[in-house]
Amino acid sequence: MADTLYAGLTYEEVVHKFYNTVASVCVLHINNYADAEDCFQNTFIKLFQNSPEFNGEEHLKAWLIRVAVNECNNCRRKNRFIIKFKENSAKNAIFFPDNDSSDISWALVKLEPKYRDVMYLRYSEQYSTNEIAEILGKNPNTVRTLLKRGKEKLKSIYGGDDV
Amino acid sequence: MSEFNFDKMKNLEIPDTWVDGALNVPPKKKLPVICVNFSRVATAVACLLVVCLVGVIPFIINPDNDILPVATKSTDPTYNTVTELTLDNTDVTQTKGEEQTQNPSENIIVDIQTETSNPSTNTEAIEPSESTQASETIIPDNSTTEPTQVDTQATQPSIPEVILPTNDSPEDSSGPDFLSGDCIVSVSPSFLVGSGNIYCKIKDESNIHIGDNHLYSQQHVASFYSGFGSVYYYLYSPQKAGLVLEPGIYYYYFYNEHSVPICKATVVIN
Repeated sequence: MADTLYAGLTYEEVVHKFYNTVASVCVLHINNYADAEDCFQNTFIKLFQNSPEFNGEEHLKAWLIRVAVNECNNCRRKNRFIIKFKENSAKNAIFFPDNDSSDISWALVKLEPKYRDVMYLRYSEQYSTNEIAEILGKNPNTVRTLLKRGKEKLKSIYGGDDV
Repeated sequence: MSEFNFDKMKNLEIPDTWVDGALNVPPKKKLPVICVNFSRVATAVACLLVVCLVGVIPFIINPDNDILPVATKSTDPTYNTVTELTLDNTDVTQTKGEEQTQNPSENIIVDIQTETSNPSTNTEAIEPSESTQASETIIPDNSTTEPTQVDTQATQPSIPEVILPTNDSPEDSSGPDFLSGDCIVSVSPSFLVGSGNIYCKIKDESNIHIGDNHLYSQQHVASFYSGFGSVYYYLYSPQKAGLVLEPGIYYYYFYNEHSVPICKATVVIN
């Protein structure tokens, strides 16, 4: 496992460095610990098994985010017809208490999935519009539109005035 | 958005089991792709080679390429669908068992070619001997006095029956004396239109037309020779038409008033 380098990092180093980013993306898409964990681990497993070439750490990070998004979409698609008991889903759910007025992570998870990605990558990971478009495989104009609409919807959720 | 943040989202408290699970990755699976593909590729290549050899060997064994239909050799587009029939004096003698009285150096017919796209036609070209006696030229008789109709709808029609009109034939076979280069063909009534004239033009080996360029002139008219049942025989005599043919190979093209090709015959003049 220590033989292959990913942008100059070993596999263990990659996991320790980017686990938070990947976990955030997984949690953002799936409000369920069990499924989010599966997506999280599948992302790193794919990195280990495919061993792609990276130009740098930013390239590696973008790749991980993209794979995590795809894994989450596959998981959601697979579980589309699975009925979960309300009680179990409640226990397994990920909550973001809104005790901090400035942290609106709880509102972010309430957005539609297509807005969550762009909003998180823009305001949490500080990616530019073009970088987000490249990561998610979308048109930059589409990303700008999603950002604009995401902000409006977020504002309507947390009830703030500042955008 | 500067007033708000997503710090909690960015700094999630991830259970250690998540990281441990990601670190304990199962080993990569090695697929034996090469072995399977190699055998399949080898089998496919071997099959291709066998098929190619089976298709090429007949051409290697028979360099004369007789397998190819005559139609590919013909240079005249009008007669592209003809098939080839070869008659020579040797075959005639062996088949008939009769005494060969013909001078071997006399004119002989090499090829008889029949138009396959036309309605049923039994066309033969007979090259009589130089002695001008019709009975001296022996042609195989397929034990019928009447010529049979050849089904020209088939891609490979059978060899047309050739009957040499003699004085002993039940029909009136009186005809002109045969000269060098004369050629008789049988014509189905379906080819007879209008005045019922049948014409013939001659070309040499270089595909050069011999005689009058007006293809419906008197020089090209083939004379009626005889009739057996539903088949008529027409004779074309280049000498009587005023044509003098040097020794060589000539192609006789028979056609009717509407330029419908009837048959093509190859005549060798020695």
